[in-house]
Amino acid sequence: MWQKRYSHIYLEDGVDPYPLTRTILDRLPGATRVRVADYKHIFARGRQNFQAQKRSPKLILARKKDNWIYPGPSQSQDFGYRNFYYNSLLLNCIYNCDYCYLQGMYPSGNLVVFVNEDDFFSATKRAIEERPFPEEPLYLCISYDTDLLAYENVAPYCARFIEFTRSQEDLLIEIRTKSANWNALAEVAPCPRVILAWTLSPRSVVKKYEKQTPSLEQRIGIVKRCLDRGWQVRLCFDPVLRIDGWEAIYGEFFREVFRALPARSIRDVSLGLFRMNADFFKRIEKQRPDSDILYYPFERESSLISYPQEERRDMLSHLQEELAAYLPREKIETWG
Amino acid sequence: MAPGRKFFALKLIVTALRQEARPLIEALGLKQDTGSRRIPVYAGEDAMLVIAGMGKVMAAIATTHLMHMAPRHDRACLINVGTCAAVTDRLALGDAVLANRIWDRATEREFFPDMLVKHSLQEVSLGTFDRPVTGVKQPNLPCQAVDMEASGVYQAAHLFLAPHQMMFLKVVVDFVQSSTFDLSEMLGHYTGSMQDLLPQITKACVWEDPAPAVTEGQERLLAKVAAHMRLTRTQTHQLEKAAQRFMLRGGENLDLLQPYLQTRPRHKASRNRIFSSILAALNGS
Ligand code: SF4
Repeated sequence: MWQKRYSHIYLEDGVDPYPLTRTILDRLPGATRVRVADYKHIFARGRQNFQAQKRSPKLILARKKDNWIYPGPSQSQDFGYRNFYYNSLLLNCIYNCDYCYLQGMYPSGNLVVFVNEDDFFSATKRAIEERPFPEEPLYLCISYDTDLLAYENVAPYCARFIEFTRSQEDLLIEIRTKSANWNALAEVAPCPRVILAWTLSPRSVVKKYEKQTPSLEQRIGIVKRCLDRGWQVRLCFDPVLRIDGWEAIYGEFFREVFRALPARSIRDVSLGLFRMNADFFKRIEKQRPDSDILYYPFERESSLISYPQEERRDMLSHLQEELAAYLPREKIETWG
Repeated sequence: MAPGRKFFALKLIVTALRQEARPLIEALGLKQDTGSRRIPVYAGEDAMLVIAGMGKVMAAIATTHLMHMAPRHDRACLINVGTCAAVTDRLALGDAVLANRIWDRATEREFFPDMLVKHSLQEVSLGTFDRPVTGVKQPNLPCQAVDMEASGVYQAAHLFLAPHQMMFLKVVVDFVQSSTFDLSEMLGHYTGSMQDLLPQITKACVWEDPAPAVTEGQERLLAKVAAHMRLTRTQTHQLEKAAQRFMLRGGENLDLLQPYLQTRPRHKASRNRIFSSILAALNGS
């Protein structure tokens, strides 16, 4: 009934000369190509239905004309790095997690790939030179509002950014992912200034709320291979969801993770509770009558919604305690 | 996304000419709505059709009129059916095509219906012109076919519908470089393509949406409880959310709310106390 995902590729005027355009078109030879004068004419149309589009997402190739790098928001995870930045090489994500804020942030479920990678590299070089704290590296999250590694087979951005980072001594990048795309990394030599960050969730959460993502086993499997190869690995237990029996479920989950992975080889861990910008949440609620986690009696605190304060305190102290059995506390960054 | 519930969307069809409408009216068993006299509208059980007249202004007016007459918009699919002229020789007379891009020649604006549903037709970029096009050289046009209505239909429909609820189906009846202007010949190509068009129209209107956790009957029960207990708007909203969550977490029904139809709290404090206990019961705490 539905077309395949990426059945159509929309090409913004001016993208043809870029090598990444060619690479992507070669990798999706059967897709119907449609011209668009400006990518916003399709991505930013009014009244789009994000979830309907997720049934057959389309690909839009565009040029990013400005803002190739953004300063990290203050309420976000900077891991103590004061020169914290992020970029948006891709808009949207190939997955569709129930709790994902992108559903409320973007008007469309389609994916935009910016093909002018050199502009991103130049902007990053400039930001390195101009960083406010020169004694620290520029800390750049390149898979911030997306899952870049999961899309590597189509748009090989991770490999290119890793190579770029190798040439920039004052750059530290984080690539956050749920992907188990080992092929994307198999041929890439580890770089000490690249942190591969895996979001891990209990099996029941993956199955129910992180549809289409690799299983917990697959994610643990790729983490293991990356640790063996000498990559810097971060584990992200974020967002933790207050599901029935969460104490037991997350306790068993941590046990399983640290039985399979050597805790001492993990660079650090991020622990965070479900939280979301309140405006995004309002938009999502209307579109997702099918997900119970969005109907929790949340509390709003300034612009964010999350679990009520007492529950948050209770959850965080419990989970920190659990994690401390495997890792020193200074390796655990907590959010929420 | 998990598979949802299938349903048949209401077909809202816009045609320019009476001759284009006739085979559709017959195939779908539509009857003229005598209440709409200036703009001819035909209606049946799961379809409505309007005859707009020629040009994008008429098309926009008729589309708006149809949208106002439609009983609902959330489960509707707008289909612009008509004829077009080919710009490229990749197309042949009688080909049924589906527009993936609509380009308005006069304003240079472009519009994109979502292409979500599988189909077996050729796709084109469709240019909407204000007058009949003849003798235009192919390389100068950023489209493979031209018509006179699609951009008007899109813009009007987009005030009411999402881009995935629109479809632009055209039949090639002419070539811009060598137009015959023979109307009966053109309509012959159009009618001859009905067997390609009709299945596509039906297919495009089989939709799926997430199965609602709370049924319409349960929604009525919630409204009754809210009215009976004189809940505030915020409380009503909290009750609806808690009921939704209760059902999504595997609750069988909302019978636990029935006793509250017998309770009429006398003052705010007792209402709020009872309300808290309802929420606690639904939230399982
Ligand atoms: S993987 Fe991350 S970015 Fe992608 S849908 Fe899930 S939560 Fe959103």
